[in-house]
Amino acid sequence: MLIVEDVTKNFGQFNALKNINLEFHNGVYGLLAPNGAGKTTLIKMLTTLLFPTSGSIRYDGEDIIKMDERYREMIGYLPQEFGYYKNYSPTSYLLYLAALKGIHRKTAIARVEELLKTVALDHVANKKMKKFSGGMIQRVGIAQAMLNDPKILILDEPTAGLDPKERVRFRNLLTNLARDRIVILSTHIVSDVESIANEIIMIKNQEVLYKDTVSNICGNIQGLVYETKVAYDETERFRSTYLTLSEKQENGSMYMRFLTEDTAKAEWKPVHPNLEDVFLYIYQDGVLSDDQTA
Amino acid sequence: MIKQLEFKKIISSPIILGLFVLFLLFNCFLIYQQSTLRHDMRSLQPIVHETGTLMNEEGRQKLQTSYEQDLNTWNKLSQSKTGDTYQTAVEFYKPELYYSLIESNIYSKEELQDINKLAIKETYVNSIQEIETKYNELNVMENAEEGIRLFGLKGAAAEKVREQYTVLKPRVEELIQNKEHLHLFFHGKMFGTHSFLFKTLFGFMLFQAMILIVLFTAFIVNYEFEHKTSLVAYATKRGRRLMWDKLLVSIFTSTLVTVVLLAITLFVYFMVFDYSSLWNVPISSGFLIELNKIPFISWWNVTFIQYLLMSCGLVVICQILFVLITFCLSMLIRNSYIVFTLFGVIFLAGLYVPSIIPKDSTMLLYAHFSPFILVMNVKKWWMESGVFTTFKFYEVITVTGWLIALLLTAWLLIKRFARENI
Repeated sequence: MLIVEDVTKNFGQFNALKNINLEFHNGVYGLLAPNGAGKTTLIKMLTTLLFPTSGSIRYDGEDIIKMDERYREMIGYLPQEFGYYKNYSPTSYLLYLAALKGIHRKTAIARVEELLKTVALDHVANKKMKKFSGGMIQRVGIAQAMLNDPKILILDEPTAGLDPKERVRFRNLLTNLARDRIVILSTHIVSDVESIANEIIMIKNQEVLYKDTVSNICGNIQGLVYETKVAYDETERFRSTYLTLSEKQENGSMYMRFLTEDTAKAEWKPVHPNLEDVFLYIYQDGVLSDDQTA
Repeated sequence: MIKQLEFKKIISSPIILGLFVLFLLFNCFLIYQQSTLRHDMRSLQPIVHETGTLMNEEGRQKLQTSYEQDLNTWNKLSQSKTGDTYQTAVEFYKPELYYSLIESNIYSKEELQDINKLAIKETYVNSIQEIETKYNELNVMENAEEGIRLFGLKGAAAEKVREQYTVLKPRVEELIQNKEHLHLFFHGKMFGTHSFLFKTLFGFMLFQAMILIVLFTAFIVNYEFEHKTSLVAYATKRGRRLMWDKLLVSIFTSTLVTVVLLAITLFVYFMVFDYSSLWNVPISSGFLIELNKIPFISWWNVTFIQYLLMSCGLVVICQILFVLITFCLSMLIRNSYIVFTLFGVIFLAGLYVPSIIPKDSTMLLYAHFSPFILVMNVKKWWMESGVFTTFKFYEVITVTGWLIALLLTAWLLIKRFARENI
């Protein structure tokens, strides 16, 4: 079990995160927040790349900083900006990282081969990475994160650059992996986590706003989301009155999905809120106070 | 395994490899340029085989006899060809006679080589007395006073210099008693081998190795940061201890690069210039004295080969100091180009610092205990080297002190890095 207890992180005068309390068990956790909200700061603290200004992070009761390499050998990490060596092949790069992860050369060779098959890069295993597409590089990144069969898998924006087919494959892979490990997936793309996360963590104003299941989080705005048809010349006025969540053109009219606390009108059709609705709602400044949403 | 992979990063850098080959070719070119002297230098070998290297009474007598025999043989030949005889071989080269003799092709190529060899032998014969006189009259305290006056040293600094030269004095007496100065070696005024080997070649090799070492140390320490792989690398089990691997690999590679550079260059040098019978000649031989007439007074009685090995060892240690300086800079600055530039600035500052210290302060002398000044004077390592650096253990103190200070700094910086936010 991984516990984040009263963690605050300041960079000089700037407060990036304050009093974060979280608990992770085996399963997928979606860390959902817009860019700049502090996701990467939290993730870097979970990977010991940053140190909390106050508070502690403990694994099975032991401080991860004190655990040092005993902790790091259990984690797999894909950073948001995954760097690579252009003149290395995926095999040589993964073997290098395997050495850093303390994996014996013989074991590493077999593991690299297996992982490159898993991420469908076995056909370019010995090609230099300088000619790889963004999606291929990202798959190398996913493979390296899994090299040491980690107990804690931390992925920061892992689906960036992946095509829809690869995303589906990746989500399935994570679901399988999460059976016996903690998977923390940071993203600002709601669809990446909506279907697979056991719990969603949302950060706002440097603090944890939600840590709950998708349905419970969506329940917070139950009865506030509607769809309706709006004439073209009315769309501007409609947008300024209500928080529009999505818009669609059809048969010369605009179909608006929106959120409001006003009493429902007859032409409004109530719909079930999804995670994206919550995301847009939460991160629209001034729509509702934090107290009302919590 | 990690160290092997870090080493691979260095050796697969085309800039490092390219420069290394370029430097080797340059050194070969330098040797090639000097190679015109090799035949004249080789003339010493038969002399040494005939007389030995020590020019004591017996050796001197043998050399004199041999010289006279050769001169007689030459005079017989010249008398038969031109009717001339010579008191000395050098007379043959008087411009008014020499050019007409050459133009008239009276002497064959081999005969001209013989007179050339004889002239060289004559130079050695004539030098012995000159060297003996010079050393008998040698007063190192006068040299010290001359240096003090020349550089305007006063007070405590001047006193310290006198103190050091007083320590040197018994060594000069010992050197004379051992007859170290009377051992035959390539004539310094004719060939300047000591300057070419230890100033030119060693000087270039020191700077070449330094350039390579600063480049690859800065390159390897910041490799992850410059390739944006630091987040992945430092979150692994090895984590920030990777810096220890990088430091050890840099030290190992610097030693390897320096040794290979020295080995290949010196191999070529000694293939071109035949030192075969001179390896065990004391480095304080008076024959080494060059045109500036300053004798080489080593602190210990060491042979040429010992001196060469000691100098090679010191070059390797100096390069380790440069690795450590670059490593420390790279731990503070995450850009290898800035580190390289800053190293150059520090190097120049290290040379400049003594010039701003008051001339009466002993600090002026201690400011010379730096690797930057040390590498500028390879030719005078392990010996009397002027008022600023004539300390018996100058080289040892300099490298030991800096090694300890830099290792400590590197250790502290690695500790600091372990708690740094990445």
